[in-house]
Amino acid sequence: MLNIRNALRLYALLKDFIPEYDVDDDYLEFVSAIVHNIRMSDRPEVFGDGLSLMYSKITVNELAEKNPLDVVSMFMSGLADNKFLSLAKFCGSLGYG
Amino acid sequence: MLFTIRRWIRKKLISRAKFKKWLELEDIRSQIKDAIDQGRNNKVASLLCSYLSIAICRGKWEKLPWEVVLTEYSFVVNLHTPSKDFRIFSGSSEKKAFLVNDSSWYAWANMFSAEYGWDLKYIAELDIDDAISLIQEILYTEQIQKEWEWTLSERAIQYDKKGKGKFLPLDKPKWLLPIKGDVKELPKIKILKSMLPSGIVIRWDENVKY
Repeated sequence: MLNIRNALRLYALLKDFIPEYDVDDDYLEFVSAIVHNIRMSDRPEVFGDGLSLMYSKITVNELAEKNPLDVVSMFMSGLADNKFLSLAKFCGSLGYG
Repeated sequence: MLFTIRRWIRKKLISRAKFKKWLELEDIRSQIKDAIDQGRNNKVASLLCSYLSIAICRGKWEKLPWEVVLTEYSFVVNLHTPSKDFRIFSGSSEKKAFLVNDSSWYAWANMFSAEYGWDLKYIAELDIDDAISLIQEILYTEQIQKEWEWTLSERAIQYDKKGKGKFLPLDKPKWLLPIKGDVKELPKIKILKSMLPSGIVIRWDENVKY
């Protein structure tokens, strides 16, 4: 799991894509809503930035060679492994807007 | 097992902070809020770790998983939260006080030593709730004194063109203003003229009879 510094960086990167509706602790729905919001935005580089934070050893070249579906599934499982829903709740309680 | 040990450590080894330590922690919390507002995530992370180092023990908090850091942070913040809703915290929107020493400890220690003559060691070991209650009392007494002095000054009365004076009360800090429902307005009751005190009323200063 990410340390606090990288976790806050990940939150800052993804906070604009967090769904505004209540997901009732459903990780899959929460993570897939984030992926959907990123895909709908004009910032696909967020996938790469997020993955390089969650998997520090991965490089941009390695990502470019991967199947896009694998990239998305890596991204989703990275968010689930790092308990991103809990992180978002904690950050909300800390005062992040 | 690890969870049970952690719970035991929390219960037995982490105690509620005394006044000086609590102020240090509150100063860090305030810096965390500022850093969040400025979007400085690295600063937020290092301040969270500083908070835990003071509140629990020194350690490499920055290397631990975020969940541990934020769970422990929530725990210690709750532990050190004053147990009552003090009115002094209700005026949070007021501007920040200027601190000469970058630390609220010296400001409050100065207030206590001036008011009660206590030494720094004694003030540092005060219970959080007692200290805040006493601060409220001191500030309230100061305000009453200021209001009394204000009533004696020329500026407390505003005169209109006819020369009729109107009293202007001194502004109170937000937390000293009555809370809605605290003060009930007295109902206006009409009194019959026949029930008013009878006799001649003399104003001594002008020697005028009514």
